[in-house]
Amino acid sequence: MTYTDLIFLFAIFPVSTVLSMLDRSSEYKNLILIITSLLFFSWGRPFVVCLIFLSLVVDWALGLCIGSIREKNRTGAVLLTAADGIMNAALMLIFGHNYLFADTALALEDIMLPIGMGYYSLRGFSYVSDVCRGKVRAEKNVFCIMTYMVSFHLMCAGPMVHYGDMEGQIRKREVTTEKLNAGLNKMIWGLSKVVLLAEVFRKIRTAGLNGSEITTLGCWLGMLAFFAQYYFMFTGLCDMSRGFSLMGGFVLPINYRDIEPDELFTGLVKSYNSTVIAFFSDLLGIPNSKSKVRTAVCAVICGGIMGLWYAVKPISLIVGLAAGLLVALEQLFLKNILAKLPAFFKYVYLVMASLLIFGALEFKGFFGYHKWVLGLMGSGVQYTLSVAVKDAVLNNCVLILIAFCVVCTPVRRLITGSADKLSAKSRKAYGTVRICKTIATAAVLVISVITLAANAAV
Amino acid sequence: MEDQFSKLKSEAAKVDLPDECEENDRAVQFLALETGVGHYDNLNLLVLSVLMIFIAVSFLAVNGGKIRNDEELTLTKESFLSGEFEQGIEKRYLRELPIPEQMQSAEEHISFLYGIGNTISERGSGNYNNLIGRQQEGEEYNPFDNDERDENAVTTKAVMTDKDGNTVTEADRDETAPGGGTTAVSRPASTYKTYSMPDADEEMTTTNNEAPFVTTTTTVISHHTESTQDTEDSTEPSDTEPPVTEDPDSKPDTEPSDTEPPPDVPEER
Repeated sequence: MTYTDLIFLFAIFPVSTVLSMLDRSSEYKNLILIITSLLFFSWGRPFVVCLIFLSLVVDWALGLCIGSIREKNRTGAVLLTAADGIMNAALMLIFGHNYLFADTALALEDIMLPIGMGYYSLRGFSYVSDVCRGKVRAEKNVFCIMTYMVSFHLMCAGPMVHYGDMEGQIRKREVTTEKLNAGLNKMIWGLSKVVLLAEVFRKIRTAGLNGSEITTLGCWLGMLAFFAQYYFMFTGLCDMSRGFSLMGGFVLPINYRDIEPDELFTGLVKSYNSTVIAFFSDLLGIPNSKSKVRTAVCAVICGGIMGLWYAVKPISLIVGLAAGLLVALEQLFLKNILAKLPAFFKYVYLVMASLLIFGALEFKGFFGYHKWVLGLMGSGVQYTLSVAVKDAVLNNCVLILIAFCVVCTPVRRLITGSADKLSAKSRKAYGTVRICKTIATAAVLVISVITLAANAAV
Repeated sequence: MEDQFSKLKSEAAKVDLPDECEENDRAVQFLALETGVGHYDNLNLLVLSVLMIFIAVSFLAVNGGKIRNDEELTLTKESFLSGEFEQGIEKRYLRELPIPEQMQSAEEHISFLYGIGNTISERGSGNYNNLIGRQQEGEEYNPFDNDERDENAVTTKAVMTDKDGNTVTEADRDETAPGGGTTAVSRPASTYKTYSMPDADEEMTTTNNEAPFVTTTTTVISHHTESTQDTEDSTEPSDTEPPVTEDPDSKPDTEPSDTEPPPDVPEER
């Protein structure tokens, strides 16, 4: 089950929200959340429930053990933490990257595989490692750990949140009208990103990166659409996740941020799935490092780990290492040179670096990548633009324009700034702006639901 | 509230405020607006939650009229553990969505807002194939990696005779008019046509230089010399023609000899 499944959006989630409002106690809310999350996590695959219980009980028990021996026996605590790390890594590999075990006894049908195992494993390991490092005390109440581990708010697209940041909210939280309102708005706009915008770019990507009619503009637009598709998919799911959590009374950290040209490629990498990158950076000790060379080396390693976390494939590892290397080079000397460039050239640098590094993720091997790079330069390509790409762009030009306004920070700030200025003029103007926003949000919800229902209708 | 705000504003306009009061003025204005924030927040929440509840209730309560009694959902230990029960619930939920045809029609009408050139599929037939189309569109592919020709690929061959009894082999009938310009036309490879007439010991090659990557091979084996008019007729594929030859190895017209058939056998690829 995912956030965009109609049965979740309009059956399980509303019922769960209404039920959780029947009592103000956090224990009751946690119970409803656990039941809903287990349903969400194990929909159609109840076997996963056993796995969840088993692994989180192990995490909880190891946390208690480590908490009790941490000060007396440091080595033992570290060994137990390493054992927990191995267990969680094994869980992630077996259930999150099961394609590695094709034709073996561990091969499972797709329908049996749970979603979000990458985030789930990281949460389990982060709790135990935080206990080992003394950042959080060992939790005695297994239901609190269960709420943290299985909460559906954190399942699809993160954020990777530490137990220490959630503990207070798990024990005591309030659902206010402000939170409900903000959460509902976030959820609806996130849904529209996934259902409407990501879908448009999928069409352009399919048309542009079509090997039977390779065109120069197709190579450019197809790859840009590839990035845009995953950007809107991820940010949409993050917004939905944040919206659901706000409606449940939680305030979670933001998992993506605006792309700023001044922060160069390092900022671009850190702007996407930022909580996971922060977790791995923290694990490698990058924030506390004072040596530039050590930081650079750790950045390359962190890139490799991130690549493998996304997919255990050679191409992912190479892309991760390449991204880490460019980040390291920026830290060492490139930053000083590139910082003097005008903003436009910084954008060009970002686009080119992203295309050449992350573009490789679209291809299975070097041959396809090489062919695409030649296509970008127009080498061996007879046509500039194919009919399919032209149609895909023209048929969706309004949505593309909206997507551009969302992604391009200066344009978005201009629009929101104008709306703020207008609403600051008088109370009537403020009311008009707010009512327009409400109407737009409602319209976006209706359009997204119609699109989802039309696609799902049997 | 609006009166208070106007009053404050008019009063502020009367007095020639020193520079340091500008900040106070902004603070007063902000406070006046702030009191309206909660009001509009509540309104927003009310509208959106009513809409959500309406959609949720209508999806749950309104029947799409397609209930099938042959799919009984029974909760047993086996059906639950195998996941069949949950899948059955989801299938039934999606099957019973209200007004599915109207939803699909509405979605197509909404797509007009997305850009230029969107069309509405024919609904009169009651054949809603757009979902299948979407599913096919969404299939995973990575064509840039598929340069090596598939050794196991099955090619089809069609041998036909024209009105004069000549054997005609069509390479590809999907050819559209060669484009030219900078826009590629979506079509399979086909650009040149070779007519072989072994008995007459004569070969004629027609080349379309405007679309070098698109090739069609047509081989005519005849026991007598054909007129030019006959040759032209045989190059026009029609929809009623039998399956045609897929020609992955077609080469540009610079190597016409590659297309020559063996002396007594129609060319096969």
